[in-house]
Amino acid sequence: MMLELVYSRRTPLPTWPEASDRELLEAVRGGDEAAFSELIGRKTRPLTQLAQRILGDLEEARDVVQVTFFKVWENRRKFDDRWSPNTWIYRIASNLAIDHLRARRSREKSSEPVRQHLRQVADSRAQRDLSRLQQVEVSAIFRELATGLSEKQRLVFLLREVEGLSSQEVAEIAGCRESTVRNHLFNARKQLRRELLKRYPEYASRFVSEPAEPSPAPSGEELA
Amino acid sequence: MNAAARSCPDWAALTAHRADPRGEEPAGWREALAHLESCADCRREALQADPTLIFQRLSAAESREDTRGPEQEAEAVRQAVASLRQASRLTPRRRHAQAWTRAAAAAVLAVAGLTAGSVASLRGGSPPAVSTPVTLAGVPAPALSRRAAAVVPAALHSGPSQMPMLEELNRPDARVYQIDGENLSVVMIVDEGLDV
Repeated sequence: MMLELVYSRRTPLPTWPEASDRELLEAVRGGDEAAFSELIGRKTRPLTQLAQRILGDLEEARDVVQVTFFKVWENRRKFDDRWSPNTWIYRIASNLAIDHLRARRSREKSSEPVRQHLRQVADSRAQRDLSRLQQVEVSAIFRELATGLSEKQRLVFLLREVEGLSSQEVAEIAGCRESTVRNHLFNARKQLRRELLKRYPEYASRFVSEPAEPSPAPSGEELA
Repeated sequence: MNAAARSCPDWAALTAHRADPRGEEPAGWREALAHLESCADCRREALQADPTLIFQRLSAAESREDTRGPEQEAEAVRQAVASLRQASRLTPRRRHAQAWTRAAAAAVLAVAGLTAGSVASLRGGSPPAVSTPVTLAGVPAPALSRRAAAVVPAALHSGPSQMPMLEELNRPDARVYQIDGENLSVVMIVDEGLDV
């Protein structure tokens, strides 16, 4: 008796470094460890940066990222093809970061030392140019001013203005409507601008007069 | 605005558009931001129009606190996630194993107790009486219910005064269960500290 191979089709295995995020997540959903490893390699840095900006602390951000990937793995079968992979992962990470922020809000460090440090660094009476601020100074100022924003405002501002995501993506991540995203963004910008001028008047004299900003109509979600 | 750079955007108009809460970002906004990177005059002008644009710079640079390289950072996350996954797998197993250990310990004790009693009764001797009653965490406990007290001595051919006693356990987490049968009661001592 002779055994004859009549048909064989071999699906070529994707090379994970070349795979799209969606292909990776689909493989992760099937339990592929190599795809999961590639996903971690690809998303660790941006997620850490986002979490760090939300939390203002690198070590806490690292903890959040670790738990994010753990949750991605644990909930991999819940990933829906219709979702954007980035949105899904960012949503998990930002929810965890906000939970973390709430948990330690009461222990939030005073912003005074940041301001003192920045003022010491500054030339004593010289008029300063905002455009020449170093990255580390911008980070410190944001960390300070962001304490005056609500969690959603902070998240929306970071995702929209810093990460450059679309309003629709931000809405999916933050779990609200696009109109609410625009509202949060408007209020966050307004608050940051006002506080920047108030707390850092050494920069304020360089600004042209502040334009009058119309107050947005509150959205239904905010009223609820 | 830089005279040399003819493509410099109108920052006053662009930022005024952004000030409208109902509006999306103005057309050409992304290109204008990209232009900022290379035009110092535009940076000044843009920041005068909207100082919050300074925070756009957060996206450009890596964190200075972060001394690890991207691959090193990812490897640290991989290891941490592997540990979390392992811990989550072990937890239910350990609970499961503990339950089995407890059940097995209880069964062995129960069988041992019954066997000793039966052997003693067959020999016509008294059951293995011990001086102190069962106490858990130093609290004297009524080891057997009235029904058990009535049944067990009968099964062991001994009177209520010679009710079988056990050595003091002195284990705060130990528990004693009792199952009453027709002619027999089984007493199980469950203590996770007992290895089988």
